[in-house]
Amino acid sequence: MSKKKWVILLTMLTILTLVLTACGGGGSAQQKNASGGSQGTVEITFVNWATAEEATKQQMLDVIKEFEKQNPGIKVKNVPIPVGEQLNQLTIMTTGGNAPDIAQVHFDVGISLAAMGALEPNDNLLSKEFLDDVNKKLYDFGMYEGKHYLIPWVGHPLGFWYNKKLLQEAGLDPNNPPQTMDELTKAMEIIKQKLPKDVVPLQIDTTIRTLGLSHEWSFMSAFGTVPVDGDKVQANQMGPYAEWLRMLVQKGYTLPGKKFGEFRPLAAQNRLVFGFDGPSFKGIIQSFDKSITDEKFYETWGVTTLPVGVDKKPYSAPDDHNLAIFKASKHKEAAAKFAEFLARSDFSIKTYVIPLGFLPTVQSAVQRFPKEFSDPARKAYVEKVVPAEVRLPYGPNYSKIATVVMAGMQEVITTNKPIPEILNNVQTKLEGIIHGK
Amino acid sequence: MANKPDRILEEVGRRGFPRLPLPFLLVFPAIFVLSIVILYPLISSSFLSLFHYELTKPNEVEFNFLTNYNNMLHDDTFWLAFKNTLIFTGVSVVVSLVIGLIGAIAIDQLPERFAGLRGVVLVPWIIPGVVVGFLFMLIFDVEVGVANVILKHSGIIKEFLPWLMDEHLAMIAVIVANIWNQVPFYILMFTAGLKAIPMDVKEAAIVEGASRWQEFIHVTLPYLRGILVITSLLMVIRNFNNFPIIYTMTGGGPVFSTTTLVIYIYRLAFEQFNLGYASAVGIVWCGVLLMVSMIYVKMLYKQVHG
Repeated sequence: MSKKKWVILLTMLTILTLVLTACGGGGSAQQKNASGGSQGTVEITFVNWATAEEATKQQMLDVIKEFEKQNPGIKVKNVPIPVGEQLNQLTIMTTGGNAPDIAQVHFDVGISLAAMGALEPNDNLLSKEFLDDVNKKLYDFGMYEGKHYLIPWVGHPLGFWYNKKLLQEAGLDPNNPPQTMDELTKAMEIIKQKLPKDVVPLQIDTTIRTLGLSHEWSFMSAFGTVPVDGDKVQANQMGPYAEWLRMLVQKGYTLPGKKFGEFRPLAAQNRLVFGFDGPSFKGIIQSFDKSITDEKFYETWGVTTLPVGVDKKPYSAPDDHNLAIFKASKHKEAAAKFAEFLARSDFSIKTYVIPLGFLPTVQSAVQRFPKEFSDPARKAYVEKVVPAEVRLPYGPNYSKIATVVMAGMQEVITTNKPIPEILNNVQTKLEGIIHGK
Repeated sequence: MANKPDRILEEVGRRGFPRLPLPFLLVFPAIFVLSIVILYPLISSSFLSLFHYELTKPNEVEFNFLTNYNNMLHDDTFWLAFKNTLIFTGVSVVVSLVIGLIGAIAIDQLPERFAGLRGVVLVPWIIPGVVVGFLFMLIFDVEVGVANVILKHSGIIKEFLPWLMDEHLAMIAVIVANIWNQVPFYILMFTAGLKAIPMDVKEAAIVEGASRWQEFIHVTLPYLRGILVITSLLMVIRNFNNFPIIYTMTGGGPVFSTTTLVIYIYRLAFEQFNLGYASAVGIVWCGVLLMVSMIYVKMLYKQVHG
C-alpha cells in the first residue's frame, strides 16, 4: 500500500474513533440523575448486596418501597452486587464516572473508597437527631483523616458461639464456655477425643481475603500481637499465634482454607462446636434447617465474647454494614435521607434489622423495640460483643495488607516451613507496603 | 481492464475523492474493530505499565518509566506465577493430548450404531469453566469430596487429603479439572484427523505385514502430525489464559501455589488496584503469548502451503 493510502486509512480510523467515542459517552448515573425522572422527582442509585442475597432480598425491597411511599419525591434505583465484589465494582464504577449515589459497604471497603476520594463526608449531610442517636463508636470507625465517611446501618460484630449440646456430649460444662485461649485449646483437645470424627471444633477463616483477615484479627489480638498497629509493622512477633494456628490444622481442630460462611452448614448439622460469627448466625442456621425454632436454637447455642488471651481483654472484629454517600452524587441530601431511613426508621428496624437477626446502630432502637432486642443472643451482643469491637487497619493499603498477612497464615498451615522464616517474609512485605521500603 | 467496482471507485476519484481499491475498503471495518478492541487496550496498557498507578491512591500517580518491569524481576510471586503457568500449561497439554489421542482412536473404532457416543464425549468441553471449577471443588473437598471417598475405599489413601489446601495437591487438582474439561477438544480434532487418513494406506500397511502398533507409528501418527502440532499450540495459548477453573477452585492458593500469571494479574488489578504494575505483568504475559502465537501462525502457514 502506498504512503498516501496509509495516511488516508489512519485519518479515517481516527475520525471513526472520535465519532464513536462521542456517541458512546455521557451515560453516567449522575448525568441521568441531574435531569431527574418525572417532574420534581429525583432518582438515587443504591448499590447493595442486601438485594443480591436471597435471605435479605425481599425485606430490603420492602424497605425501599416504603421509603419511596413516604418520600414521593425520591425514587430509588436498586443495583444489586455480590458482597465479595463491593470494592471491585464500586471502584470501577467510580473511576468510570458512573458512581452511585449511595452504597452498602463494609468498613474496609468504605475507608478505601474514602481514601480514593470517592466519598462525601457525612457530618453536614445527616440530621442532628440522627447524629445524636447513632452509636458513636461505630460512627467513629468510619473516620478517615478526621472526617466521617460512613453511616452505620446494621451491626454485625463477630461473637463466640458455643454449641451447648456438643459440649455436654464431650463432658464439658455446656453453660460455661472457655474463657481463655488456653481453655479453648484444652476444650478442643477433649472434643477431638470424645466426639465423632466429623465434628469440627472451631470455625476460623483461613482464606486469602480481606474478610479472612477480619475474621482472624480477634484471634491474633488475643495472642497479643496484630500484624500492623498504626504505622508499626510487627508481623515477626506473631509467633505464638502462628504456632497455635498451625496446631489447629495439624490436630484437625478446624478445616483449613474455608471461608467462615462455609462452616455454617456444619453448625446447622450440629457438627460445629465453636463458631466465631455475627448475630445473623441464628437466622442463617434456621434458614438451613427450618425445623430449628428459636427455642430449639437457644437450647443448642449460646453466644459470648471470644476467649481472652494474654492481656485478658476480649476482642471482636466489626463486620458491620454501613452506608456511604458518593462525592459525585447530585442528590446527596436525598441519599442521606434514605440512609437515615434505613438505619433509624421504625419500618426498617421492624422489617429488616429485627427479622434478619442484625443489631441496630442507633441507640433509640433498643428502647423503641425492647422485647425484640431482649433475646439471649442479641442481649449478649449488645452488652458484651459490641463493646469488644476494635478497628482494623483500614485504609488504601488494607487490601494489600490482608493479602500478604493471609498468604503468610496459609503458608503457616499448609507447609512445614519454620514459622520465623514465614513471619520475617511477611514482615518485609508489610514494611514494603506501609513504609515503601 | 478494470472491473465494475473499480471503475465506480475511479469515477468517485474523478469527483475529488481519493481512489481506493475495493479490497482496502472491505478490510477497513475489520481493521477498525480490531484497532478498537485489541490495539487500543494493548497500547493503553503498555503506556500504563510505565506509571505508578493505584486506583486507591489517585493523587499519587507518577511516571516511573521501567520501575514496574524492574520490580517484576525481583518479585517472587511473579516468578512463582510464571513457573505455575508453565507447569499448569505443560502438564495439561501433554496429558490431554495423550488421553485425547487414545480417546479418538477408541471412538474411531466404534461401530456406527454407537455414533451418538461421540456427542456425549464432547459434554465436558461445552460446560463453562466456572461450572467445571465448582464441580471439581466439590469433588476435591476435604470433607465431602468424592475423590477422597474413592481413594480411601480403594486403599490408596488412609486419611482424607486436603486437596485444595496442600501446595502440591492443589495444582494436581486444578490440572485434573482442566484436563477433564479440554480432552474432548483433542478427541474432536483427532477424530477428524483419523477420518482423513485414506483407508487404502492403512490397509496396505497391514497387508505388508505391519502390526497394529507399527501401523499406528508409521502411518496414523505421521498423518496426524499437523493436527497434533496445531492443536497443541492452540491449547498452550488457551491454557496460558485459563482463569475460571483455577480461580473458582483455589483462587490461586493455597498461598500462591496455583497462582498463574492471569490470576496474578487479576489480583493485582482488581483486588489490589495496582493498575500500573498489573499492566506491566500483563505486557510480559502478552509478549510470551505473542511468541507462542507466532509459532502457531508459522506452523499453520506451513501446513496450508505444504
